Amino acid sequence: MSTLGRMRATRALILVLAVAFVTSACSEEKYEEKFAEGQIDLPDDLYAVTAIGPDHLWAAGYFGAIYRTADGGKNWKKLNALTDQSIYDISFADEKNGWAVGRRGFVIHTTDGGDTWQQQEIPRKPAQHLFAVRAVDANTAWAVGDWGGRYYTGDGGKTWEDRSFLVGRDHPSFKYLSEDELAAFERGDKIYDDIFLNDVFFADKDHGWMAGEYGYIFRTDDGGQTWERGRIKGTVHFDDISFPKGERKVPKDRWEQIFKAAEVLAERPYLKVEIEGYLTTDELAKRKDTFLADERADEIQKFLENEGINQDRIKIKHATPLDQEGVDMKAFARTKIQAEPVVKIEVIETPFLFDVKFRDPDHGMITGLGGVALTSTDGGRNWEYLKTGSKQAMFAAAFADSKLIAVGEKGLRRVSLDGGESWQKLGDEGGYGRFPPEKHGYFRDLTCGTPTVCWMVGQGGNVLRSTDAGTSWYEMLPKPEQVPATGAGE
Amino acid sequence: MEENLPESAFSMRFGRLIMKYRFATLMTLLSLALFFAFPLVNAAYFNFTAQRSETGEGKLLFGSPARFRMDANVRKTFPEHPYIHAQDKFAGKFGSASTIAIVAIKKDGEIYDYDFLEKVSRITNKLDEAPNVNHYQVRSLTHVNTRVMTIQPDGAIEATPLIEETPEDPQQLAKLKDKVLENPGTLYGQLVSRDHRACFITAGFITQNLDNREAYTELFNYLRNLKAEEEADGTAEIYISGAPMATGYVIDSQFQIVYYLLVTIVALFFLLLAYFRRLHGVAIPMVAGLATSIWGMGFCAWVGITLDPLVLVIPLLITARSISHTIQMAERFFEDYEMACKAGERRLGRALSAEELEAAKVETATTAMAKLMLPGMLGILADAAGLAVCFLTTIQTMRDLSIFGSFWVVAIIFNVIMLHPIMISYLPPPHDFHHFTPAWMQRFLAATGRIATGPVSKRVLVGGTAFGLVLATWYVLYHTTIGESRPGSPVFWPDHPYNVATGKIGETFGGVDQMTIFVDGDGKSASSDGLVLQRMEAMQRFMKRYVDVGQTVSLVDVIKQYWLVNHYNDPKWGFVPDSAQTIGGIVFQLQQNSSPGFLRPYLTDDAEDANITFYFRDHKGTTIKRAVHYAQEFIEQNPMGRINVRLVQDRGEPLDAAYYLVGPVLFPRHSQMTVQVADINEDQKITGYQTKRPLPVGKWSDSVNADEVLTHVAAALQAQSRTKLGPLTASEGFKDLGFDAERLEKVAEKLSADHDYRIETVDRSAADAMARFATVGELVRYIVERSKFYIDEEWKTDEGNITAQTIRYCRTYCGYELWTRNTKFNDKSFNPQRTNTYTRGAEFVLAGGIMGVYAAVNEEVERGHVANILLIFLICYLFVAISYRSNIAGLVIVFSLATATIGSLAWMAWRETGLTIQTLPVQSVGVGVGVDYAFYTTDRIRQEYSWLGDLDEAIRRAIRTTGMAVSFTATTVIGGIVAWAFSGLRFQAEMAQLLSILMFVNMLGAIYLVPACFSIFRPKFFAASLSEVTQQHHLGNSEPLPVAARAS
Repeated sequence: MSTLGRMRATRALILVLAVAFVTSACSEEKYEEKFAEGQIDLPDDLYAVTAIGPDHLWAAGYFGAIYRTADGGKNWKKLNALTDQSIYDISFADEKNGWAVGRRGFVIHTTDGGDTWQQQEIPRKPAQHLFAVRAVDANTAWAVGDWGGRYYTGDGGKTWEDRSFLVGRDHPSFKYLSEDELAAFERGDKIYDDIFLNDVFFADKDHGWMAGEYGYIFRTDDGGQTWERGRIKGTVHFDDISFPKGERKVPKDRWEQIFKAAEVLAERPYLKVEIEGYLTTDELAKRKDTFLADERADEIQKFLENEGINQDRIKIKHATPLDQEGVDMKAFARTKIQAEPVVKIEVIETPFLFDVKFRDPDHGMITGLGGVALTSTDGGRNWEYLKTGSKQAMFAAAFADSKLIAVGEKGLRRVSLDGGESWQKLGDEGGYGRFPPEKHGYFRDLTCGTPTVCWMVGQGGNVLRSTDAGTSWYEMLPKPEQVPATGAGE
Repeated sequence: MEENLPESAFSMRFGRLIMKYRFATLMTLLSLALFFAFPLVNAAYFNFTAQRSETGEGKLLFGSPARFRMDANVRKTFPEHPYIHAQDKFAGKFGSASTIAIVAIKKDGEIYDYDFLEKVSRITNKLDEAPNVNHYQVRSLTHVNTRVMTIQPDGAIEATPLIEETPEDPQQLAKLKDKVLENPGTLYGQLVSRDHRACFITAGFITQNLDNREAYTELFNYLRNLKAEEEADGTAEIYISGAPMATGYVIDSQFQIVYYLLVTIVALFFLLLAYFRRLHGVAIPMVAGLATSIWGMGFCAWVGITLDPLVLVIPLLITARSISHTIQMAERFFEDYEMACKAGERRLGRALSAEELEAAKVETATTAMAKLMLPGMLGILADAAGLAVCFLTTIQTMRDLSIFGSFWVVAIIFNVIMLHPIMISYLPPPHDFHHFTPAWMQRFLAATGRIATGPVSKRVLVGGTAFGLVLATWYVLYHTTIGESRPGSPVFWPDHPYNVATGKIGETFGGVDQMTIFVDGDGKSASSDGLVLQRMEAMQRFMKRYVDVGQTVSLVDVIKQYWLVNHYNDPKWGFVPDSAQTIGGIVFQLQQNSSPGFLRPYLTDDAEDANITFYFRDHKGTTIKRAVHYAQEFIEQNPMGRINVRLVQDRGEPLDAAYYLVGPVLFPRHSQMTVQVADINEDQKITGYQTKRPLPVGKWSDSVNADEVLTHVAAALQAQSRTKLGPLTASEGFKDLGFDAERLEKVAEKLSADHDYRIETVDRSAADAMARFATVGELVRYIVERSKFYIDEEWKTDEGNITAQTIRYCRTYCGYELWTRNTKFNDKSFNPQRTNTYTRGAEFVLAGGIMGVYAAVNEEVERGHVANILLIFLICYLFVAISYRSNIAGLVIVFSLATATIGSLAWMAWRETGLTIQTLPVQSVGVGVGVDYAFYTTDRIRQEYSWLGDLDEAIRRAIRTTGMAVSFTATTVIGGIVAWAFSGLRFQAEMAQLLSILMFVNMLGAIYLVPACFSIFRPKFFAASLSEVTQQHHLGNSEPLPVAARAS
């Protein structure tokens, strides 16, 4: 081989070696994203659902999740909600206009069905959580939340009015205000009521309701200009417990009466009691003070606590002040006098309410903690308890054609075919209808876009749909590939 | 054709010297062999006495600690890497990377059965009692720490144990099932499988205690017994997985390893017998192999290296190499002996007498040694270099292998090159001097020679190989996996109990391989801050979104659950509160009201540090790389500290490449200390970061002057003394001066503040460190000695409460380290930041768990593989280019090596065998192993060309002669290790296959590719050596024979 040829061959060999080895240092790892924009990546817990007609649905929940379908659940899109905070509720007036609210006073508004959102401001500092929103029409909406928060917009959210519940002089909590709060009150600052308002619902532009903590139910007939408190019809009454004269110990023949009361309280966890002892004129004359009445009340409290009733649910009412300086004790004593020595147990019905829905301006239903379900047939003025047969929290209810459906914690789901008189389990063995068997988490919200097409949403991004007014339910989300398929198998 | 070396040649003179003093040399080698054999005898004696001893403790000969040990030490397989540093830092807080996972599957029906739950409870308790278990890291359905937070109807919250007593009646069991279903985040799908047929039980173990065979064996046997006992009733299947179990199986397979060693030895014996058909040909290689092994093993013991059973294939290969070199020597001896005897018979016209045969034997043994010294030494040095480059890793096991492996290889010089002629000289002359060569081999090699020199065939051969090389390189680049490439452990076959168990756990519970990301706080409660917890949650979600994660577990889940329960169980309250005070309250409540240690898996008791654990379905290299990539991306995008200080190594060409390749042996790289200070708004929220000017690190400060230090120390002592001290000298003792520990600490502080003389060390506070010094002089010497490690770069906050300094510090390697002091917590000492980052507040630190270990190891392996291969190519190139003074010769050899190496890598990629810590040395050694074939061939071509003057004919003759030895050597070595291809340990089997392929391809390279390249390129060095060697030839005294005559 010539010198030139050898040089060429050498170069070729060097080139081969260079290609083989040097390029190894240049290779760079490329990563492809698991999910495309708009694809539902992680199945988030869902807290709220709203539907327009049979096909349009928006579900919202944890970490800024808003999912939308426009074809009855065949295709889904994750919308950009401008936040990674929880979104607690979402409501659409029509297919285009809607609001979503969430943690720390977060409000967003859309006019294009959710493709784009604009953040709006609630005029309150520091911002409080907003638990519910209701779009009455394209411009009008109500939102409610923590610390008595109640807000209204009539201009599509450009401005929101703060119509929150405040503490005034006539408010029961006024006497518990701190010195700073009192000073602020005197200056004219707003003192907000420390209460959760969990839901707001409008059947039409005028008729609306809201529900929350401590049995708070309010209704309006004039589009929110004025609000009236709804009344829960009490269901429990305990007879006075009588004592032998001069005796502070509960007589044995009264024990059974107390045990029964304790049973009722254990059955209905939303009930609280206030206990007040009384004494006779003779006893007062003999003891010279009213402490005997308090001791009797204490005895009853001990009995109830021994029966497993938490002390937080029992309050001794109107006890004799220990520091009597400046107190007119004669006048006080007169309030503790009764003809017979007794202890009165007053039942306070202040259920914690999660959800309010109305079929029409007259017929409504509220669900709450401890299996509470209330119904009203007079537009929400008066409410009566329904026997749901559950102690688990009922987070939401819906009217599906002629049925009532309720969902709640730990996979709770109930259906009533007779307007709430009786309830059946939905889908379980021996229950009513069909329900996917492996759905064990909570369901936090329920809605019907039409009388027959209903949706429920809950834990782990579960979205279920029924097209037969809640009889048969089918899984829409999460898609099977998002569910970890783990099990020992065969 | 053959020539004789001139007597003046170094190799001839050396050969004559050895043979002249052969008895002395033999005795020296024997003495050395005895010296190296001592630790082996000591080990046997120790084991023998240990078995007889009641306490299980053995005795040592002469009390000498030099004892050969084969053992597994996991920690030694970890590299020097920030992830490992992070693990070391947090090991005492959250436990270790050593986790055992057990799945108990009920054979019929669901787990809600009294007997089965009792079984799970027993397994849990036994696991909790296992040796070296971390009691705070036991998780199980029946464990007391498995609690369910419930809100009573009246609002009361309780965190009650899920199972206090194993439920018996159907109602209680149904209630248990309900509770499991109600807790999908913690119980359902996590501790109970989704089909309710299996329970998951895990426990962490203290890694630093699992550092020897005894500990692993004890744990392994304990768990194996547990499995046997609990499966005995036939109602359940128990699967056990986890890194300690894998190591246990490897140790347990030592009997099998011994078995395969015996098979190897027998195979080698028969191969040698089949080829040489005489005692010399069998005994000498076997003795050489044995002697080399004794040297190697003895050396390990004398320098305190413990042999890891998993790298055993390397010593085995080295031993095979010693046999291989002996074969070359023997082959050459028999060839030359035949030639010399025949020449003698022709010259004398009669058969040679016994004395003449003896003289011919000694002379031939001497000249054969001298002739093969150059290629033999080159081959051995290439082998040694292949192992030596493994020293470039920061993995201790690899470094150990590099040290003892290189020595083991170098021992071949003594036990083969030197010992071979001596043994020949003491053995009787072979009865028959006719050299046996199979006829079919002669025909095959003759054909090979024609192909390698044919005008078309040689070009097709070289061109085709070049094309194949490029193709294989492309395949390797895009298909090679760094790290494990299959689920389970690649050490075992798919049907091995370990892989079956791991697969079952992955299938049932989404994986056992865990990665922990630490939240490193700078003080009390740093990790129980709203922002920190929210970032943790965001990271969990980010990782789930981008990486295929099974489960994630952290304090976030506990806090969310508590907060939800605290708000009427309303799911809307299942979030992490913003306020640090609120979270502090929750943590306090959980610590007070739950079982002791309930939060410890997630958060330290002082809430300084926390962690997130991610469970993966596999630990494939790609999975780990993706996880690390996205974790780092998240951390970069989401800073959360108020002040972030980082020590960042300089980047930039061309130093990047140099540090990438040989970083561990270079000086520490210059760095920059970067500081980010957060902008905080009125609500104390971080709105952004200001980046301060980076401070360059790497300027050496001069060592301080001893007299100056003495003056400073004296001044500090005087300032802190209760009494007025006079002038101080170095000899004065602190006690005599009335200094107690407390005052000495103040002296240390003052010296640190005034002169930057730091007294404290990584492991000790200033107070402890000071206690070691008795006199002023000792302290001064310490400061002077240490001052050279200190760098003057320092950054302080405006308030002066945080000081960050960089220091040059030498542990296993020298490097720059970040040390910080935060006086806000009344701690005046500087603390080393082993991750080279410091954050005021809390920061994410990668990475714990077995996946963290793999991530660190994989990064090291990736660098190591490229560095090792390129370096060994370079070394081989230099050896050849310098020895033959020819660039082309060097390139041709590297071309041949590259073909074998890239080919083997492509084979690994095709077989989905990942590059791991174990394959790293195999590849390096494989390159060295193959190269000596090419050396022998090249040298023979050179020698033949000097006689013939026709290169193509020289090539053909070299192939027919040395090609024979090369082929036989390769097949013998392959035959020796091929038995391992059937090993029960998949790793050993695949490594044996890999080595076989490497050697086979290198053999083909030596007899086809290298000769064909020389035939094409016709390098000048053959011509250059023509006159020189021809001259030498004519000075020689033997009469050459035609090749055809010799071959017959």
